[in-house]
Amino acid sequence: MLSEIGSWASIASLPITIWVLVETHRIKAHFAARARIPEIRAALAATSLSYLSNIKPNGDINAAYEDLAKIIALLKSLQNKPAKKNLSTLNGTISKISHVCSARLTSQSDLWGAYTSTIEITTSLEQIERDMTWK
Amino acid sequence: MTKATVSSELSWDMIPTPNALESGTNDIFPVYLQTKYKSQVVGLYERRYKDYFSDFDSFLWTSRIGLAFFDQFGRVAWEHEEPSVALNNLFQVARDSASGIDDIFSNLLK
Repeated sequence: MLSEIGSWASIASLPITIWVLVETHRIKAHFAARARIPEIRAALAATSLSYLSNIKPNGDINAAYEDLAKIIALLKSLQNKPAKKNLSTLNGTISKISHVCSARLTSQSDLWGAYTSTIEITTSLEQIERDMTWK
Repeated sequence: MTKATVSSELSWDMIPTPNALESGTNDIFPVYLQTKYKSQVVGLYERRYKDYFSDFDSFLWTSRIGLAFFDQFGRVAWEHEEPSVALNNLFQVARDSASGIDDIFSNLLK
């Protein structure tokens, strides 16, 4: 009798075990997706400041393009992290900045467009970071 | 304002912190920058203050960047201290502009 109850209990607990496994995997994926966001955000902030000082009237435009290349690399490392709804924005920003960098565009509107796009993404990351804090 | 500062259309002055910000607090303002932007007096500052950190159960020094608009009587009409990369970048370029660090380096390299 007891062994019969045990067998039925084992069968009944199987879906629960599978559900726990799935949930654990989802939690792990959730944290893995957000890992290193603070470091990337800090690197983007530092590079955007360097970029600002290089697009001054007497700045070094080649150094500004180097900063843009760093920003592109940092943004690419984010591609597997945001939710799907933000991915198109991120890809759009990457292609916009890549165009400024590869075509060596020098107009102020293009250079400032790249800066504001970087700030937009960095601000989004700041908000994600605040959502991540355990408060 | 960041764009105007970087393109030297807007210049900032490093002056003593106004009483409207400083009085009634124990906070320290190591840098206070002021300009006039579209007829509005704008202040940018770094505020150092002691904040409570529950992890350490103690008050520790921390700092934040702030932006304030002043009215014609020198009162703080609007204040913003929410940390953001845009505000931090504005503060850094404004401080560079007010300190004349570019001219200092140019003179050193002559």
